Amino acid sequence: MDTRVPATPVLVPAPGLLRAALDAAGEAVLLCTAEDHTIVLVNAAAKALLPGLEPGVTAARSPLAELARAIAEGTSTFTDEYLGRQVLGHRRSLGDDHYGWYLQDITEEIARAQEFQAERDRTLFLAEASRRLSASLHQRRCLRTTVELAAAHLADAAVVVLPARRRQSEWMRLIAGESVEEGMLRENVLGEVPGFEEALGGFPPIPSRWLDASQVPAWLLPEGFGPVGALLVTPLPGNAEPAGALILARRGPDAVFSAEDEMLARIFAARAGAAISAAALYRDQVDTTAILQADLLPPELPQPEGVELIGSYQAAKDALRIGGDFYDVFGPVDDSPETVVALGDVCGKGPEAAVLTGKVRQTLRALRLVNADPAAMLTVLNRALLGSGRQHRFVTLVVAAISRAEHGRVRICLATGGHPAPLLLRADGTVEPVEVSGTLIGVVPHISVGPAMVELAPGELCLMYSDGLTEARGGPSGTEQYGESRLRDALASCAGMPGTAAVERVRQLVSDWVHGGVRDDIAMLAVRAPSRTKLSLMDTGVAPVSPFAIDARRGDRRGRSR
Amino acid sequence: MTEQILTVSATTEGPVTVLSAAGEIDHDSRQSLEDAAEAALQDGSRSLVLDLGAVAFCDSGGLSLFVDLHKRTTTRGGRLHLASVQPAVTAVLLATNLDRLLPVHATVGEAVAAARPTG
Repeated sequence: MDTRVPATPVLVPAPGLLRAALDAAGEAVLLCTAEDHTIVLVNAAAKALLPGLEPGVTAARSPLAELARAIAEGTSTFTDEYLGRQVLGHRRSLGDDHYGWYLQDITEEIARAQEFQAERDRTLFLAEASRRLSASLHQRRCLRTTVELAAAHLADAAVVVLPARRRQSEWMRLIAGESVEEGMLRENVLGEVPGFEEALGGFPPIPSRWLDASQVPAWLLPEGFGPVGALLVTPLPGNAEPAGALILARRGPDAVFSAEDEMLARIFAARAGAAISAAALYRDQVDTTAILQADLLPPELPQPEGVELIGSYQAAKDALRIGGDFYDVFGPVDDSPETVVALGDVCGKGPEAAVLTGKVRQTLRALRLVNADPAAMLTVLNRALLGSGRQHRFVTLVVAAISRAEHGRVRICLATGGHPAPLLLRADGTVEPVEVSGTLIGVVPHISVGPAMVELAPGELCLMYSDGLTEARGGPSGTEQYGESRLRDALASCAGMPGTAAVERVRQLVSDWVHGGVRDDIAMLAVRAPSRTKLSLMDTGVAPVSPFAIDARRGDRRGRSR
Repeated sequence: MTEQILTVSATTEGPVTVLSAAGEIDHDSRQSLEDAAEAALQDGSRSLVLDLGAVAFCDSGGLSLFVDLHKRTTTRGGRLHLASVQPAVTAVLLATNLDRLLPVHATVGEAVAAARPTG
């Protein structure tokens, strides 16, 4: 009964009251003696947090190693893990003889902080992935970036395998801390990787815990990697079909891929897949363009006896603007010794124009085989193009049948379909257009063609050209067209020059006019009757080869297509 | 650099729309003329008159647009007429024989009169 609170206030509370007050507090408290750190009181919260800790023993030998160390080193805070809980302790002095350890359970707080940090790391990782993956349209670079990012952030080993092409699959692999390896695999061994076929088949990824890491085939990872503890196979989503699969492995018996890891891998794989498939599409496009361009390149010009043929082709600067101008040459056939040349300009640019150019050239080649004259070639070509249906494009071209005449002269039968009239450079330096006219090809069912026959005396030249030449913009204002009168003057200044030099000079003058950067294709094809007098021993009768003209241009173009 | 290569204005008189172009018609600029023509045909115009009085240059891109508009107007019983064609453009039309396909008039008035359905 005496334990009841006395009616008069007292200065020192009874020990029982102290204990009750400490037990009622939420904070865990260990009361210790200052002298030898003997625990004199463990409140209820401390008992719950640190079960098994009893008064009477010294805190310096408590099962909390960090507490013991804090006492030994005289520090006033410690953190420790005890029975799965994270404990934070602060020491406060309580008078001369005692002090207390005030303990907090910070398990949840730490977990939240870790979760926050992990989320932050994931976001940073995905941001880095997006930035690095979008930086390239080069497929191998994308693959390399994918394995580098995956091996740095997601697993100990990352392997990207692409879908099989011609029954072989390309792969790229990176073991963290090593260097990237790559190679080819036979399609039929890929199924040995658990979950791989599902991933490439477009199925949702199989959770890592369902994949038996011990089933990983020996070829997937290098020998030194050690036993695989956890495996994760994630599809790389692509365009309609997977762009490949990402195989992640962690080593060691306790390794796992958590649900968060799997989710992160899937988000990463989505970005990597988009980049890889975009690069694949781009590669296909570049390949297609290269194929089309290769077919559009002007041919090597033959040098028929007694005739000089000189070509020059300058492609527009923009490599993807394929199409446009072309020229072609068709040699003699059984019943005709003539050489037939054609120079044309297909309206527009791009693959559609390139395809039309191919059609035109092939049709002309076939017509040459049946020995059609230039006017007939144009008429039939027009009907063939209109018959091929839904195309809005047209083509302008000039066709010339070239034969030798008496006394070293060259005879040319010309017909045009809506093309600028070829220019003749006469021996006396005058320049005149060939009197030809004709409707452009591919628009109306019946075209009118007014062919012409011209003869070149030795040293005279006939220049066929595309309107890219006269429409080239430049000059002092930068916007003025080169125009036909400048072209005539340029050509007149070439009187007496060898054919290759004349064509190169015209090309150079136009190039100067536009300050180098032509916006449109420029094609030129010149026919010349060789000069008869051989004034120099240098002239060995070898076909003239221009160091500038077509061969140089050809190199240019190939170089750019890659 | 905001200067347009080609500007187009349209006035419609009954079934005929006059498109007045000023500038240069080429592959890069033809879209504005194409859009104006498209709008006129959508609104029910049967014939188009292209006033080329202020067009100094026309390349194959422009020609292909003329051909395209020719086909589209004729399929609806109309016609594409060209008016006040300047020498540079005339040369292109002559070179391609398109002057035989497309009616060319000295003035816009004559072109509209010819384009207007008779009787």
